[in-house]
Amino acid sequence: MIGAVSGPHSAQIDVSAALIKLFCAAVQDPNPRYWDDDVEGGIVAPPAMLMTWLMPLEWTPTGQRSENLLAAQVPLPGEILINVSNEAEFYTDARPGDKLYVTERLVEVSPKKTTSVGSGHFITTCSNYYNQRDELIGEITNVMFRFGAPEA
Amino acid sequence: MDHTVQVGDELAEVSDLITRRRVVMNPGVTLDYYPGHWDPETAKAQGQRDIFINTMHFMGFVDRVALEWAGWSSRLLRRKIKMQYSICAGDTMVASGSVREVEVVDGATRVHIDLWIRNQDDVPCCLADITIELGAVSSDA
Repeated sequence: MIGAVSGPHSAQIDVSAALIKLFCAAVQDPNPRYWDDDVEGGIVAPPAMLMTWLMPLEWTPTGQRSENLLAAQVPLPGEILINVSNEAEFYTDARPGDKLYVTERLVEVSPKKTTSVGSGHFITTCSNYYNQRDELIGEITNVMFRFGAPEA
Repeated sequence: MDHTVQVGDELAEVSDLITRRRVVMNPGVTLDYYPGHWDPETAKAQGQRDIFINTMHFMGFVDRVALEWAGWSSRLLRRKIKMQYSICAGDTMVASGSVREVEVVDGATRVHIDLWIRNQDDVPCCLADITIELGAVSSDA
């Protein structure tokens, strides 16, 4: 599956000023670019929210559900996924009203490793996030550890 | 912040108490309903001490610390984080950092920052490598 590409997947929610403010309230980030509607150019989304806009909704009227992360689709034992590391580059801002889409690529699957939480595999994926004008907003390389319960 | 930033400059330490209530706030806002962020039983079954903050909370916190230090007109270009130990309900995140490199690219000043998050017991929890461009926002708007 290495090199497998998933997507493009369209966001189920638009970038929204309300969600931006809720995020900043959770992190306690006072950056005026996220709060002040009168700031030059209008408010922008915090870079740390980039993955948020593509998260699947738990329920929709039509039953439509986004596909699982590639890291969950790789045919390996172990259902538990934890994030290990994440590298992101940002090229332009996401702004309220934007509708993003993402393409995801499977980069690497490690041999079986045993860590303090259990035995499993490190899975590396690379995701490109675009806005509705096909402008690249950011690129994220994520490493997850996928493992099962210790006795499994 | 102006262009007098130098290698070795230290960022002011920032502490943030993460109550149980705050652990669940970020996953709720970011649609990250992974049970380890809200169910203590699941968290403990996975070897964690308690429910723990999500990745996007780490990101939001290190971004805030770096940009607050650099000035709100700065722009985040790159961030790499490595998570080593969970921040659980009741823990305090303590961020500190220093300037690793300063370079000028196309007339703009880029600052590379090493940033660490430790908990209240001085255990390293997250390592961040951040690149920002100083004063980038006004010319971009």
